[in-house]
Amino acid sequence: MLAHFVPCADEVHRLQSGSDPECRLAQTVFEQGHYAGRTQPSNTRQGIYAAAPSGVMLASINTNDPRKMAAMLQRALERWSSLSEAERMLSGEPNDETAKIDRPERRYPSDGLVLRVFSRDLPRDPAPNSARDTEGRDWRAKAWNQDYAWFRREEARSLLPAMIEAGQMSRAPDGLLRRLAKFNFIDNVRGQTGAYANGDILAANLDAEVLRVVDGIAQVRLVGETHAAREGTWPIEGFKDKQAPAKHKVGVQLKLFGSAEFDVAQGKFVAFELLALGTRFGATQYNGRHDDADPAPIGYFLTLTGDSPAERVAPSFYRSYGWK
Amino acid sequence: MILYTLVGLVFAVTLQVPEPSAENFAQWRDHIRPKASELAFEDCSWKPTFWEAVVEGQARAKPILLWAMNGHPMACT
Repeated sequence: MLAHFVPCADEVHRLQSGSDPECRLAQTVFEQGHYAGRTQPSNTRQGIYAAAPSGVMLASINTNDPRKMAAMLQRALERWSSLSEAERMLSGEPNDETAKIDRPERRYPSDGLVLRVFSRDLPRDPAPNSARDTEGRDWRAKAWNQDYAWFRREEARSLLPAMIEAGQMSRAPDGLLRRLAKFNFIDNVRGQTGAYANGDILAANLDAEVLRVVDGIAQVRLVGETHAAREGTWPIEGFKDKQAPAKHKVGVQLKLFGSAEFDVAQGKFVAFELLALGTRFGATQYNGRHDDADPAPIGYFLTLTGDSPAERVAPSFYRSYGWK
Repeated sequence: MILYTLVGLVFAVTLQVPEPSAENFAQWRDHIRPKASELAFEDCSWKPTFWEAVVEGQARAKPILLWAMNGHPMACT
């Protein structure tokens, strides 16, 4: 059934609040859908929408139930069949408007370093209720998440010693490791959470040692650590305690270890694998830790992205990179 | 405050947290990195922006399926 559609995925907040042609058309769709006009408990328009290129709504839903999803797609195709050509299509050529859309993906650092960052809980014994999966009904026990980290060409190069020779060592610039600690080493395993601020970073360093250079490829060992913590007043249970936020603390402390390969002539990483293992504690509004806030082990794995279009999506906190 | 510190100390003593090393690298990499079955949702060849789907839908006269979440579904959501 999916073959009848052009499938796309996108971030809803920008679409529902922006003013460029892409956002305006998305808003036309959203305001015919399942959350049209809604302001409480939030104004989000997230969900799954089937629409004509013109913006005419076909059907929508917000569910992870495959049967309901299939039924929605069927309704959408029936509605599509009932529309005239004029109702289905935009009157102008949408590609003519593309230049007016300023997405962060335009600044994808194709000549730099792009890492895919996976996060997941490490095993615990005994596991808390939310991490037990004896009957496979609690998704939280198998939760994982992902995000991206972007480095421009000169930033990527600065992760290594100035002289690429065996035995050379260097420490990465403070700002780059802080960026990882603030935006990527967050407890997003079960859902979105906020970034740390500069003042929350207690440690952030990564040392690189060139082990050898073979056929123009430098082999590098990476070792480091990060530590971030903050306290304040916020809800920790979605909408339930939204009106009565309390004082909380949250933090992540990690040891880093990995390896990389750098093509000296191209000035580009051709391999990069970094593990970050340690402890997290605390909960935030949407990260699903309200009943699992005690210190517990967490892990991250960072690796080069592939070349699929979906892997060019901007990091969640790209807007805080300060890139122009 | 003293109680909070004591609780923290107890966790620090009892919590089993591995330290990454060359010896355990593959084990923890494979634990954290999603399995192929966990990445099956990527098989749909989602276009990563709504507008790309609009352009293609218009060109091919096909309807659009938009998966829109707080946090990009292909990144962190």
